[in-house]
This record gives sequence, C-alpha cells and structure tokens, in this order.
Amino acid sequence: MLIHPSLARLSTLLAFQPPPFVFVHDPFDSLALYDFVGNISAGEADMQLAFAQVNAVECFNPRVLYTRIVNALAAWEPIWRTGGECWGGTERGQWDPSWDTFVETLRQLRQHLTLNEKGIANPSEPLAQLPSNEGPHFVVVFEKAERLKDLLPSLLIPLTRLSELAHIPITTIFHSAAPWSDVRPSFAAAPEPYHLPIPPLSQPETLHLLASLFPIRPDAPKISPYHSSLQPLYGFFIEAVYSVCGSNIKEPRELAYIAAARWPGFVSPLLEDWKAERDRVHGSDNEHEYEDDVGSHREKRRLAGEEVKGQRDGPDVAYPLPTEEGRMRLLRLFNQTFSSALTSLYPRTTHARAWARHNRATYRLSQPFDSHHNLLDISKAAVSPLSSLTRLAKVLLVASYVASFNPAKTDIRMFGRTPGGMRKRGWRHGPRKARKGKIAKASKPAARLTGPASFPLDRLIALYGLILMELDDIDVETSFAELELLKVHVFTTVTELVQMKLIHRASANSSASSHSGANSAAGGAGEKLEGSTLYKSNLDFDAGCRLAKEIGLDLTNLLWDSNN
Amino acid sequence: MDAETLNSSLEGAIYIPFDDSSQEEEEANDALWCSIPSRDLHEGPVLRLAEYDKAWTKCYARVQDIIHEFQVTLASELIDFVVNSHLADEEAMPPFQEIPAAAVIGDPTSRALIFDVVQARFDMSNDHDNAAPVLSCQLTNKSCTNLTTAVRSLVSGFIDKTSDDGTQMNLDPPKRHKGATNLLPYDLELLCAWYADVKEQHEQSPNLLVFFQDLESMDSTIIQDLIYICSLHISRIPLIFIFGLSVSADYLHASLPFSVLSVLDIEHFQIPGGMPLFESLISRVFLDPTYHPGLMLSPAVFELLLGSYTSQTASLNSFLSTLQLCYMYHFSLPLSVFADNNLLGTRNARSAIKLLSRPDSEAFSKHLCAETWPHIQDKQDLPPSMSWSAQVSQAHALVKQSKSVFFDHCHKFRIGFRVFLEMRTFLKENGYNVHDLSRKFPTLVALGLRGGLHVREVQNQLEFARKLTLAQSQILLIRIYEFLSTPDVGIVEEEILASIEGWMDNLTEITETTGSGIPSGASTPAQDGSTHQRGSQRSVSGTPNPAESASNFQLVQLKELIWNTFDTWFASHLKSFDELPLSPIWLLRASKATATLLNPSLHFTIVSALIRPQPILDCACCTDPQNSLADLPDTSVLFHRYLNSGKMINLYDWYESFAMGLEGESRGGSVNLGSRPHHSDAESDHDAGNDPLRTPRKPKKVIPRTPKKKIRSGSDRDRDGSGSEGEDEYGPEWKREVQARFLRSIHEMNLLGFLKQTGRKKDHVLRTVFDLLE
Amino acid sequence: MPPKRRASPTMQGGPTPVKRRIAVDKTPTKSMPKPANGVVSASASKKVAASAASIRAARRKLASLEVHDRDASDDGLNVVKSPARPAAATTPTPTRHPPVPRKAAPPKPVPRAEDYVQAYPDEPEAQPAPSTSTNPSVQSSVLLPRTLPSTLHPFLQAQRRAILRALAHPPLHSPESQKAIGQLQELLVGTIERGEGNSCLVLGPKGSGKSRAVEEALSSLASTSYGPKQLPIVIRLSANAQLNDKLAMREIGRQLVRQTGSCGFIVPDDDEEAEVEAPVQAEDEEDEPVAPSFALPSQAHIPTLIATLSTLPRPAIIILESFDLFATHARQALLYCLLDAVQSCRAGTGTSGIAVLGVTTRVDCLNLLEKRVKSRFSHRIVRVPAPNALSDFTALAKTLLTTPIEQKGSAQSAKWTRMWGESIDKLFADRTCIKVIKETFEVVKDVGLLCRILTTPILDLTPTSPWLTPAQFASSAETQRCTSKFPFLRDLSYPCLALLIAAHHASSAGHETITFEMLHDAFSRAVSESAGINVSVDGAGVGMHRVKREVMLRSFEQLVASHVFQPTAAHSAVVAKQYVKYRCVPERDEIKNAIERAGYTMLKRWFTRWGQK
Repeated sequence: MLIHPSLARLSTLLAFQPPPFVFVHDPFDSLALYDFVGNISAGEADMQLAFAQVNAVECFNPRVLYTRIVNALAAWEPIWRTGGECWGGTERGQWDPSWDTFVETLRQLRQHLTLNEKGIANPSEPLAQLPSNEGPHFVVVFEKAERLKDLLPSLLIPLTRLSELAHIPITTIFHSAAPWSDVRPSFAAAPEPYHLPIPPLSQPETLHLLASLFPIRPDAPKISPYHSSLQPLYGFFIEAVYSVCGSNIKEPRELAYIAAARWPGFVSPLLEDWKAERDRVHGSDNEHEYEDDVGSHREKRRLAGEEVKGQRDGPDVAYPLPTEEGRMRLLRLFNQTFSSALTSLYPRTTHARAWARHNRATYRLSQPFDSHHNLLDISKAAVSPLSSLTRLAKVLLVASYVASFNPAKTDIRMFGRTPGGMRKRGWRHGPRKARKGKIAKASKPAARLTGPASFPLDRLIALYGLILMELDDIDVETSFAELELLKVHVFTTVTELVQMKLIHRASANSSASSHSGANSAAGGAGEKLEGSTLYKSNLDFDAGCRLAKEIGLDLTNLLWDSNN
Repeated sequence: MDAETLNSSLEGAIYIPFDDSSQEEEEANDALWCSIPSRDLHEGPVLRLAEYDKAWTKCYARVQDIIHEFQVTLASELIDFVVNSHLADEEAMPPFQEIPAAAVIGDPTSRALIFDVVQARFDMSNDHDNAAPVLSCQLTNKSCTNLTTAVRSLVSGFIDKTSDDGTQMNLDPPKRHKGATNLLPYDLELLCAWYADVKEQHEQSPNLLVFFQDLESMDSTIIQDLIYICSLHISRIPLIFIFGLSVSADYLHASLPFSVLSVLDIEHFQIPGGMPLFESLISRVFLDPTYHPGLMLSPAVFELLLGSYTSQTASLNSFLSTLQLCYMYHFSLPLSVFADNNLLGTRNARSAIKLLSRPDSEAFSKHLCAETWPHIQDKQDLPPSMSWSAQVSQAHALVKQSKSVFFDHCHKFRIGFRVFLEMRTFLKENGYNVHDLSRKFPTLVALGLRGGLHVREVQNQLEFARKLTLAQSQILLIRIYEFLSTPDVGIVEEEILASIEGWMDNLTEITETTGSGIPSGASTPAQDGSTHQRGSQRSVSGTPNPAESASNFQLVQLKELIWNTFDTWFASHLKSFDELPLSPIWLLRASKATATLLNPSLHFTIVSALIRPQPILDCACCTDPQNSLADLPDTSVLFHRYLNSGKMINLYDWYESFAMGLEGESRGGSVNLGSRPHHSDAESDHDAGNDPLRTPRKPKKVIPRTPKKKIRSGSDRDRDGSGSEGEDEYGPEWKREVQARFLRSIHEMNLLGFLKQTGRKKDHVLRTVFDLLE
Repeated sequence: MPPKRRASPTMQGGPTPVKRRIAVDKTPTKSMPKPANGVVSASASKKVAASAASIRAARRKLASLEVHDRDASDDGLNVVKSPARPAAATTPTPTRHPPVPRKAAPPKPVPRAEDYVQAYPDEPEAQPAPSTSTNPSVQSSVLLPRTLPSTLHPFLQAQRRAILRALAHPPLHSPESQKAIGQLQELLVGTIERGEGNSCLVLGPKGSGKSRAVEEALSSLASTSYGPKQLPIVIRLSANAQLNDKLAMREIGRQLVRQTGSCGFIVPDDDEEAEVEAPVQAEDEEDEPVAPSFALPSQAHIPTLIATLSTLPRPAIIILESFDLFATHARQALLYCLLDAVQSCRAGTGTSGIAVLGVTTRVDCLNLLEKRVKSRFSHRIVRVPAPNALSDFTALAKTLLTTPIEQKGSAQSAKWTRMWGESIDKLFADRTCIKVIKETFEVVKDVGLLCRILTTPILDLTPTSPWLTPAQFASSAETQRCTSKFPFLRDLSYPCLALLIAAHHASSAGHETITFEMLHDAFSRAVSESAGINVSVDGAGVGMHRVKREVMLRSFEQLVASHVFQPTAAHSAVVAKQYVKYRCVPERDEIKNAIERAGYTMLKRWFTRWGQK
C-alpha cells in the first residue's frame, strides 16, 4: 500500500497519542489515490484503534451519519435479510435521531468492544468506571468536511467537540480541501484542531506514485498492455507524460487518468512488433487470435485466455523491451498526442475509453518512421449542437443573447438604425466614443465578461422582431409585423428554450410563471403582466456568434460593446 | 402536467372534449365540414370521411414504421452499451472506477419512446442471452426535489421492483425485528446490502440502470450530489446512468462541475432527428417506388411541411399534424370522394352513376363534368346533344381511367426521381462536386413536384454524364440498371432496361477493341491485355492508329445516344402532375388556412376581433358596414376608446366616454336593461345611432395627457356631472346599467391582458398594446 | 554577539545535520542560518519556504522512520531481556528491511539509497562510532551524535511517546490555576459532605484549562475515599450538544439513570417499560444499567427531574459547558430550575447537596441572565487565568519537552536523558525557538496551541535526525497558527497561477468581483501580447503558452474548490458556470511570492509588467 508522507506523520501521532481533533487540509486533493484510513492506521499503535470513514456529502442527514459511524466503528455489515439492521439495532431498541442517543450508543459500543476484547462480561461494572486507557480508541474521519457547514450546520460544533462531549477516547479527523478558517463554525465555538497540511506531491513523488499504479493484470497474456514485463517501459512513459502535462496538471489523479488513456496506444506499436515476432516463431497457425482487439469485450476475454494457453505450450519467444532509440521513437510518435490528451481528457470533453478507442496506433514500432505519420487525433466535429434547432429558435436565441448582453437603454439606438445603413457603423462605433480614456475603460468590464443581464419577455419579442427585420424576413412597416411576432409558435418556442435551459428564467416565481411568460403578450392574467418573468440568455459568446452566423447575421454588429 | 409541458409544442396535444349533449349534432356537422358546400353530394361528407380515414391510416402507419426503424437501431445500441458496461476493458483502465453513463440526445417524446423500448427490453427479460440481466429505475424531476428524496427514490426504485413484481428477479422480503434500528430508506448502504443479497440469491450480478428522464429539468446541484454519492459506492453496485438531454451534451459540462464529471464515463447517443428524419420521411412515404401512399404531394403541401419543420418545430409530432391537416383539407373538397375508387360507396359503377344523376347531386355532377370535359378525347364524334346521364357516365368512367393514369405517373415519377438521385450521387462521388450539383434534397423535391426538375438540374447532370469516361459510364449504367431491374420497378421499365443492356454490350466491345485510348482510371483485365499488345504496336508505328480514334468517335456517339435517350426518359418521367386529368383528386393540396391553423397569432386575432367584431359574431345587425360605434359590443367600444387614449388612462374619463358612446342606444330604448344590448337596438340605429360628431370628438375629450389637463378634465367632469342635465334625463337605473356594463367590459379587457395596474395611481391603468395597425 | 559565537562550536552538532538534510533544495538553506535576524516581519515567503523545506525533510526522515522503529523496538526488548540477542538483532534486520523501502515509499531512489547507508550496512561500525563520540561526551557532555546509535533508539521512541503523552495533557501547574482548583475542590466538598447547594461560574479565556480544572477537582474528589453513599453523581451538559432545554433534560435523565443504575425516582410504570425492554437483551447483561435509559423519555417526568435532584440518595454535581449558550435558551428555564433547586436545598436538612458549575469564556456572562435567574445565582466566580508571563510559558514548554521517560536505571538511559536534556537546552538557547514561543505567547496565551506546535517536531524525530531543531519549530508554528491561509500557492499549476495573476490584475484595476470570463479574457490577451516577445528560458515555462479554454475552466474550478476564489453570492442554478462572481482571497504579496517561487518566467513578467502599469 502507498504511504503518503504527511499521513505517515498522522499515523504515528495516532499510534502514540491520538489527539481529540485533527484537521487535514488537502487543497490539491493529493490524497485522492491514497487509501486514507489504510494510511493513518499504518503505524503500530499502543492501543487498539477503530476507524470510521464517512463522507459529508453522503451523510446529508444526521441519522445517516449516526448509523454510518456506529456501523463502521463496530465493523458491522448490515444485511438485507434483516432489513439492513444497524449495530445494536435489536438489543438497544430503536435510536431516535438525536445527538445524545448517538453519543450514548458510541459509549455502549465502546464498552461492548472492550468487554469482548477482555472476553469477559461483567455486568456489575458500570460504564463510567471504564478506564479510558483500556478499550479501543475511536477514530472518525470526515471526508469533504467543508460540506458539513451547509449540509449539517447544527452538528458541526458537536462533531468537533466529540471527544469531550462523549467522554470516551475518540478522534475526529476533518479532511477538507478548504482551509480551516472556512470550515470552522462561526465564533470560536469549535476547539482548535491539530493542523495537518498536505503539501502537493513533488515531481519524484508523483512519478513514483503513478508508476506504482501500473495496472498489472495477473491473468494478462504475455502480449498485452498490462503485462508485468512492461513495467520499466511504463515508468519511462509516465515520465514522458509528466514532462508534457506536469506543468498544467498537478493532481496525480488526473495525470493517472491521462496515462491510463494513453498507455494502450503507446505500447501498441511495440506489441505489434512482438506479435509479428511471435507469429514468425509460432508460424501463422493461430493468426486469427491476434487480430486487433475491436471485438466485443467478452470475445476479448476469450482471446486472452487462449493466448495464455498459446504462451504456455508454444516455445516462449524473447520479447525485448525497446532500446533507448526505440523509446525515443515512441516519444517522437506520441509526444503531441500527450498534449491533445491533456486538452481533451482533463476537461473531460471526451472520456478515457472513448479517447483511447479513437486514437489507437495501428502500426509497428519497427516500421520505417515516416510510414506512420497518420497520427490520429480526434478532431471533434465543429458542427455546433445547436444547429439542429429550428430557425425560429435560433433567431430567438440570438435575440435573447442580444437582450441580455446589451444594456436596455441602447435598444433605442438599435431600432433607430436602418439595416445596412451608415447609422449602423456609427452605432458600432458608438461605444468607443462613449468610452474615452483609460479610467472609463477600467471602470467597467465588458458585459460579455460580467455575464448576462435579465430581460422581460416583451423586450425579447421586440428584439426578435428587430432581428427578423435585419434578416429581411419581415418588414415592420407592413401590417403583418404584429402577426409575425406574436404567433403562438414564438411563445411555445420560448418555453421550449427555457426548458432546454438555453434561456434561463431569472425571476423568483419561476414555478408557474413560464406559462404566464408565454402567454403574457397573448393576454394572460392581469397581474402576471407586470414583467414578472425575467429571462436570461444562457449562451456564451462563441455559441451566440455561431448561431448568428447560421441564420446569416454578424452578432458583433448587434452588440453594444463588441469591440474589446 | 404543469404549465411548462402544456406550453411546449414538443409535448403531445391534449384534447379536452366539450361535453354538452345538446351540441353534439352540430359537432358532427363541424367534423364533416365541406369547403364548398354548394356543390357537394348529399352524403358526400360521410363518404369523404371514410375515404380520409382510409388514406390517413395508411399514411400514418407508414410513418410509424419508418420512425420505429429509426429508433430500434438506436435502442439496440443503447441496450448493448448497458449490457457490456462494467466488463473488463483493454482500451483504458483508469486508476479509479467510473460510472458508465449514456447521454441520449433528442426531443423528449422520442427520448421517452426509446427509453420505453430499452426498459421494456430489460423488464421482460429474465431469460435472455445476456451476460447479466439489468434492473432499471426511473428518476424524474418530481422525484428529485431535494437530495433526500432523490436518493430515496433511487434506492426504492430498485428495491421495490424486486420486492413486488415477479417479472424481474425478486427477493423474499426482509423480516424486520420490531423496534430495531434499520438503515434508512435514503441511505445508499441499504441499496448495497440489497444488491449483495441479490447477487448471492441469483448467482449473477445484474447491472443497475438509472434513467434520468430529462436532465435539464432537474436541479443540477442535487444531481451532482447524487452522482457523487453514487460514485462512492460504484465498486459495490454496478450502476449505469442514462441521461436524457434535449439539445446537446454540452449541458452536462455546463451544469455539472468537473469533479463530478470526472467520476462519469459518458458516451453520446444522438437520436436521429432534424433534417435527415424529414428527408427520409418524405422520400420513403411519397417518393419510394416500392410504396404507394394513394395520394401525391403537391408543391404547396411540401413547402408547407418543409417550412413548418425547418422554421417552427422540428419535431415528428408537428410533421404528422401538419400532414394530417393537409389530408383533412384535401378531403374537404367535394371531388376527393373519388380518391380511392369511383363507386361512391355503392356496390358497382351503375349504381354510382345512378347516384350521380340524381337531382340532388346535380351540382356535384355538373362540377365533375366541367372538370372532366377538357380531358375527353375525340370530342367531335360525340353526339352534339348528349343526354345528361350519358355525360355523367362518361365523366364517371373518365375518373376511373384518369386515376390509373395518375397512379402510373406517380410510379414513374418516383422511379425517375430515384434514378436522378442515383446519377447525382454517382457524379458527386466521381468528383463532379461543383456548384451546379449543390442543391439540397428539399429544393430538389420541390422542383421535381413542380415538374421544374427537368429544366435545369437534369440537363446539368446529363452534361456531366456525357463527360464521364468509359469505365465510369459503365459503372453508372450498371448502377441504374440494378436499380431499375428491381421487381416492382422493372415491370414498367422494360424498354429502357432493354436499351441499357444493348448499350452495355456496345460499351464492353468498345473496351475490348480500344483500351488505353479512353482516359479511364479503372482498367478491366481485358483492357490490360489489349494495352500490352497495342503498346508493342505503337512502338512500331508512332502514329495513333485509326482503330483507336474510330473507337473514340464511336464511343462519343454512343454516349450521346445514351444520354439523349435518358434525357427524353427523364422528361417523360419527371413532368409535373398538374396537367394530368383530374389531378386535383389525388394531388394533396393545402390552403393558407392550414398554415394559420398550425401557427395562429392569438394576440392579433383578439385585437382585430375587438376592432371589427362584425365578422366574428355574424349576426344580422352587425354585418351592415356603416353602423356606428354604439352598436358594437361594450368591450369593443371600450377598446376603441382605449386605442386612441394615451399611455395612461384615467378610469373615470374612460367611463364617461364609454357612457357617451352608449347615449344613443339608451335614447333609443332603455327599456330592455340587462339583456345583450346591441342586438335589441339594431333598429334604433337610424334615429340616434349615427351621430356623425360623436366618434371624432370623443378622443380629444378622453385623453388626459398631462396632469394639468387631467385636473382640468376632472374639473369640467364634475361640472357637467352636476350641471348638465344630459344624464339626468336617463334616470339613475340607466346610470347603474352603464356602470355595470363598463365594469364588466373593463374586467374582460383585464382578463385579456390589455390593462396593467400602476402601483402609484389607483384610478389609472396603463395600456399594454400600442401602435396597432387598423 | 559573544554568546552566539561561543555557542557556535557546540552548536555545530545541532544545526549541521539541518544543513545536510535541507541541502536538497536551495531556498530554505538561505533562510536557515539567519532566522535569528528574521524579525517578526519575516515575509511569508521565508515562512512558506521553511515550512515546505522542513516538511520535505520530514518526509525523507519518516521514510526511514519505520525501519528504525522496527529494530528500535525489539532492540529495546533486548536491553531488557537477554544479551544473547544483539548478535541476532543485527542479523534479522537485513532480511527484514527489503520490504521496508517499498512500504515507506521514498520518492526517489537516491534518498532511499542514502537512508539505506545510514540505516543498515554501516550499522556494525556505527556501533563503535557513537561510543567513540560519546565517551568524550560523557566528560564534556556536549557532543550529540548526528545519527543516533541503535542502542539509543528505544529511548528516543520512549522519549517521543512520553512527550506526546505530556502534550496531550499539559499540567495545570501555574499557581493561579492551582488556586482555582482549590476553590472548586472546597466548594464541591461542601456540597458532598455538608449537602450544600452551591453554584459557581468557572471563567477563563479559551484554552486556559477551565474544563481541565473542573475535571481535576472532580478526580481529586474521586481519589479521596468517599463511601458509595457520598460518591457524587456527575452530570455533564454542554450547550453545544443539548441545543434546547428539552434535550438537556433528557440528557440529565439519561446520565442520572446511567450513574444511579435504576433511577430511584422514576415511578414504577416506567420501570415496567424498562422491563418490557429488558427481556430482549437478557442474554448480554452489560446493557442492564442502560436499558431503562431508553425507557426513560416518558415526557411526563422530564420536567420533574430537577425537582427530584435534591431528593437523590447521592449529591449531584452538574457541569454546564458553555454556560453562556444556556442563557440563550427559551426563558432560561433550565438555568432557572437548576439554580432554584440549588438555592432551595438547605444544608443539614438531610437532602443531598447540589453543585452547579457553569463553565464559560464570556466575561459578561452574568449580564445575560434574567433577573429571576441572576437572583438565584450565588455570584461565586472562579477564574482560571491563562499563563500570563512569558517565563511561565517557556518554562511550561521546557518541562513538557523534558518529560522523563519510563525505563530508568540503565547507564544507557542516563546517557540518553543527559543527551536529550543537552539538546533541549541548545534548542531553548536558540533565538528562533525563543521567537516562536514569544510570538505564540503574544498572539494567544493558549497552552493547547503551544502543545500543538511542539507536537509536529516531536513526530518528526528519527534516529537519523534525533534532535529538535529551531527550523522545525518555526515551520510547525506556521502551520499550527495558520498564519497563511494558502500555504501551497507556489505549487499551483501553470493555469491556476495565470488565473491568480489575472484576478490580481482585475482587482488592481478596480474589479473586486471576478468571473471566469474576465480572467480568461485577460489571460488570452496577455498570451497574444507575449506572443510578440519570445524569450527562451531553459527549463520550465518558456513563453506564455496558451492553454485551452476548457483546461482553464477546470483549473478555475480547482481554485474554487480549494476556496482560493470564494463566491460573492449564494449559488444559483440560473447563473452559468463562467459568469458566477467570485472574490480572490489571497493577498497581493501572497500571490507575489507564489509567482516568484513558481518559476514561470513569463508569468512573472506578466505579473510585474502590470504591476508597473
């Protein structure tokens, strides 16, 4: 098991003299790949330790928290046959979810464990007299402790004071990504913990950790990315990955993820060579087994099994790891795919399996170098998903974008201008005149950066009409403008867009107001008309531009401060 | 079903039947509506309804089949995604276990359909070939109002399934000790315990499938916590998520934090929709040579469909409803009674003719004859004085034959269109991807239905076809041949098939004689042989040998021949349906009304109704054009005042002007109070109804623009309130009536959303509708 | 200065291992020799550096710690058991150690090998080496070996254990607190022996040991032999757990039941209830006293509990932690009842006494009480002051560190104690150490904090670095006092740092609230500007290479997760990710140091360039 140095310190502390309250500040989630409890229970302790690890998010409810802690401390596995009964369920009757009963149960649990340990059951001994130095010492670890504050606010203080409230030797450990000053309850109601900051892993530590995560399959055939003989190459590979991604990513978890996605592709040229070698030796009797593994998983398993057999009976072939020069070639082949992996895997625009599937390497290492420059890089289709929307929806979306990124008082200028006329240019330069001098510029960031403002439905409709005019779909002078603008489909489409979360409803009474919002201009109930429903565009700038282009507009012409 | 769903046009329509027994027969009449009642058969509506029913059910079934095919493929993909998840994978082994998730993208209705297919597949399957059965549960936004309920419904969704119904692997219910502390129903530990039990009872580990019906409607904060909690236990319970999204998977990235995204392993599934769906629907319902819907699209209908699909709602429902409306409209035309046969629901032709020549159906028959007359050949040898019954029977006969004509042409048109598309695709494949071929499918269909395809597009294609090399033209011909020789096409196309065979022979012999003369990329083995020997020939004689040039010439000739034939062939196949006899019977048509039916403009309708109520309530009194304001219903009187008032309206002034508007009528007869006014005083128009001075003067009096003016108006208000005997003579009850009517109309307008109360001034209201176009 | 120079030759045993240990990275070694003149305004950078350095050192030491623990422990046994073992003790170690390097994951092969050399192969001759070095040390008793001879390992272990024990329960030996304890004792004695009703308030600043004082008073009572008749019932309540009076009452009932077995005052029907429960757990009897406690909450009797307190066979002592919060309960009913009961119980009327001890930090606590409550409170206040002289504080620290170890007698142990004392003296001679303690004392006179500060260095002791060093002190003081909220800014990734800089520039441009869009916009603009100037610096961070937007977004979220950026408004689903408004928490100089140490040249340039603007 991997031991994190800082946690090793904690384990020693627990082993010697467990403090009542420890705060583990882990801002980079460096412990993601470590087994927390396993680490801190590593040191050989003077007294018997019982651990419980609960997650603050999962235990959003006090009762869940209590049952979890007690079960974990008692190493009690609830089973379905008895309806998932908790520890001491039957003997001690039903708990009520109060704190006191929880503490009480903890005490009983401790006594129970102690007596079991001593192997004697002496009823005469009351609880209070149980000496604190004998009997197990409880350790309760709270993951994501920063969430306690909003999930279980009333329990935060008691939990920090657990040991003194329960009067039994128990250690509370908060493991949080947030600093203590953000986790602790208001006015110093909680005791000061023993602070244990977890520094991010240094480069060698990270490399060591990642290399140790090499997923060796015991049943793996000789020729598979996960055979133990490849371990040295894996170390080399890890270093290469780190050298590319290390500056952008510090979390070992993510690095490991990227490595896992890239590794099969990385070794495949080598494996291809080996297969070729093996076939040369074995002759091509069992050719079909070594096809590229595109088939279904179950088949793959079968193949794996057969390969193992094939290995056993056949004369074993020497599978040489690549020479230094070979490694260099591998690097040259894959170096830029590392960065592409970073940019698509780290933000999870694609996930590891899909990514690995998309860029396999389908050539052999020993091939001449230039022959495999078809370095596969998933070029994501640039077609925007919004293009499947109807034209009406697109126009409405653009209108909503304009409505929420233009100040309302500038609309008048927009309506004033004639499409394509010179007023428009003047309009586009308008803001530049307005913002003269650095002070004014620094004073207010562009609306595009500060986020959308909310707008009433009527404004949206008006701008929609304006855009239609821009597109010459209608001319507002004719009497059909109203007819066009206030069609039923316009309102239903607005509602759909709200449902699709492409337009947010910003108003407070959002429950029923979409109805009125859709109906208001078509004559809803009177009080709903008070501009009660406000909307917000949920597009970002690029999407807005793309949509505008699709309907044949230039969005920047419509924006008030498009130029900065 | 809350307001949102009611409003969204993605949802299916809800029909609330009007249950008033007295109205029923009227409804029946409305249902069997006829566009031209004057020239309809007596029992025409019933017949046409039957016809419509036949035609539409046929078409609808077809559409359903197509949709089903679309969905079945996707559903099967989803299914084996679900089945194969949580198996060991060579591709990539992340250092931590992820939750496999599928993001299914498409509009809610089709999503729901697919989900049902998938779930049904797993629910009924306790004995299918899969590695492990799959248990599933559904999460909707109702069940995820907060974290507790979300987790509870997730857990119970699985547990209840096994406990109650025997369809899936069921467990014996747990025996709980009384008074024991159990795991809570919203604790995932419970699910884990349950799953462990399932595993040991059934010796197999089923995947647990969770549907998130539509993710957009769920609270993302809850969802992300839920997913995180699940990810904590994924090593013990093999969960699989299926997210329903309507637009794109970007929503996941926008709504979930990366910390949550990184515990998921998401695959995308796009439900086929949008343009591809539309095209396949059109081409497979109306342009498929192997299928005959019984009616043909007219260009207008096609454009209506296209327009409503591309610009308004790109959903299957809207497509279907539009099409259905077109059908309805079509069968509201009298002649459409002949759509299927000419028997008019009788047993045989004779009785049909008898029915036609009945006096009460004379109008219809006249219409029919008028329609058929131009298409009757050899009119001259008709006896000049032809008996009426003879004419009818002739027309009746003509219906039958022109029907067969029409259908044959439909068939030919479909074939022609297909061949046309075949050629097009082939040319594009061979690099003729130029502007002339850039038109998209919808425009082509529109052109074709107009018969305008042959004018330009076909010519272009043939031009390119002439440029093809020998080998290419061979391949193209083979393609066309293969298409044409399919059984239900071949019967009508013998001659062209024969000629193609002939040409193929010619072409092949040309290839045998001359090989490399033709600049062709593809080379048949025969060609190779010839090139080889003729290479040696050329070495002896440097001059190009005559055989080659001759064969070239011959080839050019042949190509000319081929494509000219095709030119005429296309011309015959792709001509429009309009000049066919009696085409209106089978050519599906649409009217403007259909479009407005689909996408009305309520606001505009209401306003125009208020301005000119006459056409809406067509009672005798209101129809005459030069009646005055007073004869309008109260609300519309009020609305007229409203229109020429200012932004804010003082209620009292409004009331006064309204009262003056009613003066005339009251003079006429204030006898009938309470009853609907203007019907009764229709006769009282001439004496007082049209006082020319009234209408123009009112506005100036009404509109209080500035506070100052308002004060003044207020002052002179109480002046004539007290002084003028103008109202005293009507008596108090009249005043009361006016007040009552005023109030009622105000409330009506308020309901219609034309008024908006201001917080500041209690006696004023704001206008909501401005610059209306009269 | 003379003392320093005189100290230097003796010191060389001390700090030189520090040099060697830290020599891996340059930054801390600068801060190492001259922490003395590093005045209170020692910039956060040095602190961070020092802490990081010592942590790194700690890691490397801990890597080899287990090794030594192992053979240390059984060497300890050998000392006690048989002389025959040592020969055997050396032999098994090589066989045992191979798993060790894998277990205690030392990051690089290099340090591993080095530890190795320290630990094992030269162990045989490491044996004479200290003997030669210690024999003079017996006379002059100054020279401390830089690595501990294996014979002393058990003592080091014992020492650490002992000190940690002591740190867990620091003694209350300051005269004032002794006085306070005394007062409490006589008060309790009065209650117990003469059945008085007493109420008093234990007042003192945070961490001054109020609760410990109370506990000591109680324990002293327990030690004095009372008959079972007089042994008091102790009821502990805390306003943090018992949020309202109802809960408090129930808790009282529960504790009563637990201590008096079957509570005498509960009317029989409750006992019936208890019996209903009883058969269920008849098999394991240790729950016998507990079972009624679950039958207890019969709401009827809860209110009467207080009244029955005085009728109990034994005196009752009620301790109210965070007394001030009890005053916030509705109508202060609980306090009223308790104090009323206290007042009403007369001495010598046969009723057993009641003592109510309120423990609080609030000085104005009495003013919170309503009049009727206040009037029933005997305004007796016991003050438990914090150590108010630096000398006490230092003395305390020293006594804690020189806690005697158990196994006495053997020459080895004497030698060890001598060496240990020596090291401690050196430590307290050092200026850094003094400064740390002084600062701590000036910030909060909290003994607990002192103990926490002392804990980490003790934990870090290993046979290879057996003596406490000032550097460790300084760093652990940093961490325990949380002087900097984000100690690891410098280790942030490139995008995160870029975002930090952008946020800093935004704030200096007057935008306190930032959105991701703003930061990303600024960053991309800076990138395009820096594209013009291309500087080729070897090593990390050549130029400002552009980062994809999504990557930036995720980095941004990481910063939010670690609360470097804090949302200014409550989360709402309406606002899209990139438009949520945040506030950049770290101060300018924190960012500055981070940037300077992170070593991305272009980022530094961007930072400074804007600084001038």
